[in-house]
Amino acid sequence: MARLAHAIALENPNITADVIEVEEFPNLAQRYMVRSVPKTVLGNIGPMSGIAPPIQFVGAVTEAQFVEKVLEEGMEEPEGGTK
Amino acid sequence: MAIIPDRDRNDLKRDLRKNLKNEVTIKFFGQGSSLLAVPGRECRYCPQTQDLMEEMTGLSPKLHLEVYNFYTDTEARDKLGVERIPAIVLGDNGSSRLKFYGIPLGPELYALADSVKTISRGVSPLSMESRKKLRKVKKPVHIQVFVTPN
Repeated sequence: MARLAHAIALENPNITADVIEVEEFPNLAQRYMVRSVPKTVLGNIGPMSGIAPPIQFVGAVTEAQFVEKVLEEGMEEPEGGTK
Repeated sequence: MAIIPDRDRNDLKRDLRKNLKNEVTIKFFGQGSSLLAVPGRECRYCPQTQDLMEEMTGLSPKLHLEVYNFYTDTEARDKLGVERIPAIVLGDNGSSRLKFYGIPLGPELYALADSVKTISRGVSPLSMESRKKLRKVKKPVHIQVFVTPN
């Protein structure tokens, strides 16, 4: 998933991709409720929000599935909407 | 002591020498070379991650390493959006869109090498269909992939 995430990010300047080694960042793993890996999350949540990020999945997905999820997150109209 | 096992180093060296085209700079953020541990700023894997990046970039003359101190190189840190350390930052055309937080050991090192090759060659491993679709992304998307070392 790390490879795919980075390859996807290189396709569009609007996309960024972080790969995070969970054992070194337990607080982050806790915040994003990482119980098994690889876990992929699209979007951010604040340290205190307690709100689940909009799109997340555990385990491997195909390239096509990953791209669809990125589109789901990235094609929303920025104006007038709340997430 | 070398972090990359001999066999892996030889494989990686061959692969990088064969597949790199343009030069690539890897930016590493750690806690600097101070031997003093400041409470709250301990970074257990920073020295080892820096050593690993020095080893990796030493495998090809087309790879370069820039080392930054997360606590004192604040301008670079903020510009590149580095949030924690150890951090490895990559991107095409000077961007910083790819990051690896933590030490990339085992399969993750090969994944990092693949990202380096993609940037160096300017050739995406994705299908044309995926690439066309991704052009439609108009608002910021931040992907986070959580992994373990093995």
